[in-house]
Amino acid sequence: MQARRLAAVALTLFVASTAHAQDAVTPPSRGYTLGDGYPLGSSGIRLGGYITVDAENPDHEPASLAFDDVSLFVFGEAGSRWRYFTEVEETHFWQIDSTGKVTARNNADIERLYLDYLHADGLKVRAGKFLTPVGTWNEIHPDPLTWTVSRPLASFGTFPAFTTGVQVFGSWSGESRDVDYTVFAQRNAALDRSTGDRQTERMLGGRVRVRQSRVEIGVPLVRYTERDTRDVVTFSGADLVARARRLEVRGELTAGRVRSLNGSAAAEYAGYLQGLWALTDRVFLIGRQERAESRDRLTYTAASAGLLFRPLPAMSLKVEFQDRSGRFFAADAPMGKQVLASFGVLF
Amino acid sequence: MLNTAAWLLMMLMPAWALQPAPQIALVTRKAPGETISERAAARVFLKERLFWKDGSRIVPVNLPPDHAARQTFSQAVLKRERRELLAYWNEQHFKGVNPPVVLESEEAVKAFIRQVDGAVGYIRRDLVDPDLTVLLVVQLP
Repeated sequence: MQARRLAAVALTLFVASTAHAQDAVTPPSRGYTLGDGYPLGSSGIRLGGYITVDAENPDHEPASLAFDDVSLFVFGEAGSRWRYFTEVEETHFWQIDSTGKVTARNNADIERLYLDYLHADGLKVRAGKFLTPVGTWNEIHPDPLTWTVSRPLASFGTFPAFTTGVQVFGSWSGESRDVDYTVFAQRNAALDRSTGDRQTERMLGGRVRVRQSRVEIGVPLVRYTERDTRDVVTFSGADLVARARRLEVRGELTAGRVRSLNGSAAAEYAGYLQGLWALTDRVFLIGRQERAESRDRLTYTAASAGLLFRPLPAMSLKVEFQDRSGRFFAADAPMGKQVLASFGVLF
Repeated sequence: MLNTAAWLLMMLMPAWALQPAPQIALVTRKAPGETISERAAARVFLKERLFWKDGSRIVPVNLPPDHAARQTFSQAVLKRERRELLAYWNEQHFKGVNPPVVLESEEAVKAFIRQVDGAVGYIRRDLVDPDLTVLLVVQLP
């Protein structure tokens, strides 16, 4: 594992060292703006990241306050065809609960490490570890950019949230609509297995997304073999984002079949529908309903009501009330009502 | 009575409010076979479209957020408010995509376009020099 991390850092430094050719397309420094990242002089290398602090007060457990995520990005372009990106994240590394118990852990993960070759707008190739392009939430999931403290199960629970492999993607623009596509594949061990609830070493998938005016609709089709159980999961679904002036409706659904080694088959699905109302430019009211059923026939439902305050576009203060029942993963603890709060900054 | 009120209102309005919004030209140094629609221009400045038709890289260049030409361009072409654009670029930052280059003046934009292959920017139409190719002209209604 250590060797892989060293290799990751070495790859980043190697790619970064070739970035000087990028001078012409790198914005001249106009001072730092929160959420834009920090350019390292004229090297073409940019630093960024985000930090999240969250508080939970669940029914059956002590209340807690945690530094949930500290994430650092290093990214940039090398010439006009190459783009690189690295994200290292320290997750849930310091926590104190209402009994005064302090927990500190070292959970540094490589969340993303990839190289893009930009051949044309319709053909780009990515190799490395990246966020699995299913739905809308998974690819843009950091707390400062999302609407609620909790993350809907459908955005990570039914598929490996990370892929270590190859992705081919691109877009076409028509008279009134744009079409994006992506095809991705993995046939190897994951880079840094500590990320994600579902793990795979074999996955093939794709997604088509159509955007017209202020509506986006995506359809994925994915097949993967789960690393530990050898279950073969084939799923499809849909995701939707529709925006009006002060309203946004967002939803995701994944539904599929799970075939076990012993030949048995089961269904599995997860979905959510979320509505957002902008009370002002900075204050948003959110409601969300989730429902899921696992391959073990466990059912999970959750209803959330939240308030989000964005004093700046790159900063969020959230509070959420969530009522959960049932469970999705067999190892999950009993669920109930909880109050959640978070503070996040993208830098 | 109504005419008097209209006359009074006109007298109280600042001079700029009576002037039509300036025409903004999207310009580049050379653009072999390029024609560009407002939607395509928006995709270029949102970094969704990266390449010219000949396969070379597009380098969009912006004016500062408070510049009148940028505000006209953002409203007429990008059709998004400033806050929406900031949120969009925060998401792109998470994906490792930088916003376009920002230069301080229209003269700097013209100089940048002359020096950098594939550069494209917007300036007031009356500032367009003969060596620049106009791809699109926009004006707020």
